[in-house]
Amino acid sequence: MVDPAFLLVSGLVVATSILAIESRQLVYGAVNLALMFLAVAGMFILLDAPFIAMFQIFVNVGAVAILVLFTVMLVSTERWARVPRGREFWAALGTSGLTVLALVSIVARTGLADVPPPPAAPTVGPEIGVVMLGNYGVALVLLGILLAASVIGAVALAKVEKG
Amino acid sequence: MTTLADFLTVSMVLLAIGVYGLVRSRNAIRMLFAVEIIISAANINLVAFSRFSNPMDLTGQVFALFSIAIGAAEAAVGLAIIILVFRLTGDVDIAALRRLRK
Amino acid sequence: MAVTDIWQMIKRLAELSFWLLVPITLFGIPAYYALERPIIQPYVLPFLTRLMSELMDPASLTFKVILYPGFTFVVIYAAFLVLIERKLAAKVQLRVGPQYAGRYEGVLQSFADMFKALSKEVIVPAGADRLIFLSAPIISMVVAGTLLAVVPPSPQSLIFDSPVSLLLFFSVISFSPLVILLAAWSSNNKFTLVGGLRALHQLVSYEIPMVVSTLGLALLVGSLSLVDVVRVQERLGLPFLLLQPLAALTFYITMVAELERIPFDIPEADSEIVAGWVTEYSGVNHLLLYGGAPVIKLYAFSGLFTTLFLGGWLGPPPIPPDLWFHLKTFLVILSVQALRAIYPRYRIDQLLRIGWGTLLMLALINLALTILLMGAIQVV
Repeated sequence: MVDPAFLLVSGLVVATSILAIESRQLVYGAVNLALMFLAVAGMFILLDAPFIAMFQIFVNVGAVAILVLFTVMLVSTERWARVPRGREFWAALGTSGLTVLALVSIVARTGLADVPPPPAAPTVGPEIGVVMLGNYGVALVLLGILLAASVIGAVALAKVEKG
Repeated sequence: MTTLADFLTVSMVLLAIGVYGLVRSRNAIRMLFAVEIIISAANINLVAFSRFSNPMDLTGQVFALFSIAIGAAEAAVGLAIIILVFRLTGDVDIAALRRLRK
Repeated sequence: MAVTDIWQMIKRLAELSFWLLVPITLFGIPAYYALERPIIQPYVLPFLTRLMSELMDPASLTFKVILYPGFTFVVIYAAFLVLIERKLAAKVQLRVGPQYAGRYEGVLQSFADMFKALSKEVIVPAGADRLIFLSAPIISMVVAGTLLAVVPPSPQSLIFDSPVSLLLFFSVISFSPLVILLAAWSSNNKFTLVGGLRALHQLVSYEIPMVVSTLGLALLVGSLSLVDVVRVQERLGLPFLLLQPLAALTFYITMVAELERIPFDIPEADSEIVAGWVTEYSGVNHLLLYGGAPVIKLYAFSGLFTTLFLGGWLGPPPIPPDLWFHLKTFLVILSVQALRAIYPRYRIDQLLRIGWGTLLMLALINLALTILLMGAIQVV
């Protein structure tokens, strides 16, 4: 009844994200983060948004995941990070569990489960470009300024001072 | 046929995993992983709602595009801070860093 | 010495097949009778016949992915491309190149190399991360193979075209630095890590001029689909090489950089840090990482260059479109391989300065000119 492609992709997303958090070695966590981004791109393809999927791969996997992996290699002090099970485990589980419970109750009450998907064609570059430059042109320019500022800030922060 | 509720469930599970990771991690880099997971959950949510409510209206997808870009910028700055902290104190364990403040 | 190793391999294969003979007869004979049973027959036999018939049918996806223009074709092509590169470099440098394997001018050299590599021991360095170390070559081949899915030799023998094909190509290419970094780090070797970081810097830096240089072209075509790009060139009657010369030049140079070829091969420099990030790989893994994936990527990139700038499969009738595409791609590949014999290697800082400075500037100038041109055409 449920689409097998959806089951596979959503299973991958959940599995890789759990592994990203819980894996002992930080490098495995970073690799799993890259795999999770890939699986999320798969979800976008299932949602008929191939442009967003490719953008996600290009930015998140091609840049962010590499950056994270690079930092992990520079920074990790010990190869195996022991994560002790303590009070925080129950606090964390409780927080996330309550969040999910709240959201599930909201969604269940609105009856969204019965909405069939309206027919749609996969949206690609030209249409998204029209919307982005038309309605959200100012936001796009501000995003550019924000990205430039963050790049300059990151370089300034991580720069080694001479002497 | 997958309904909106299916996609929202995945998004919520991802959010739960991200929040769990954020609360539980002692390593600053793992907290960054958790933040990225939460951002991905929000993106799936945005695109799913855009697809199911009105496929002609691309606002959700554009929003997701911006969100991905901003997430990347935030990851870059966060990692720069982590590298700086590591260089100054030799440690990325946030419990140890909290004690350092005192 | 190489011959005894091959004999040893043959002896081991014979031993293995003997030991396989026992369970095959033990289970195979009852299985043979079981195949006549009505439970297995509706599933296994139709699947096999369908597989066979699809493999014979040039229009089916199975044929396209497995035979042509997919994996088998490209692997054999890649084997000969390696040989052609060595011969070409040799002739340019007034040498002869490989001439012993095979009767005429060493044509079987690639296959001899393949046998040699397969017979070598696969060494995993002590302290290396086994899982990542051994899976990096496989992931590298997967990335190279995915690129083949969007390269269009002709509208009939196209594996897959979507409205975001060009972006898909660039997205898959952006995997390469990740794989290289993993391979370099998992070797547990400071030199490979340095080589991997250099490769990372180079590849990530050159992605930007590569994408920006194709932006002008995407503007002119109005779509990111590769088939559309060729169709627009067909309608205009001009290859984009003439309409976007700056973009073609920039893309060509960034292509050479992304393939880690001379003059941009500082990460795997033969005379600098041993063999760069590939140092710790031996045998099969070395073959895949050093000879397999880069050559397949070379074919994919050259195919993309042909599609974008040289008009893909277009050409006068007596030669079929597939052959036009392969002729043009071969010329591009030859030119890239000839660079190897001619140019010295760039230093890493010179390399990065070219990538971020000159090439990005050229690409942006090209984009600005294209926008002005489109605006002017609309006004007129």
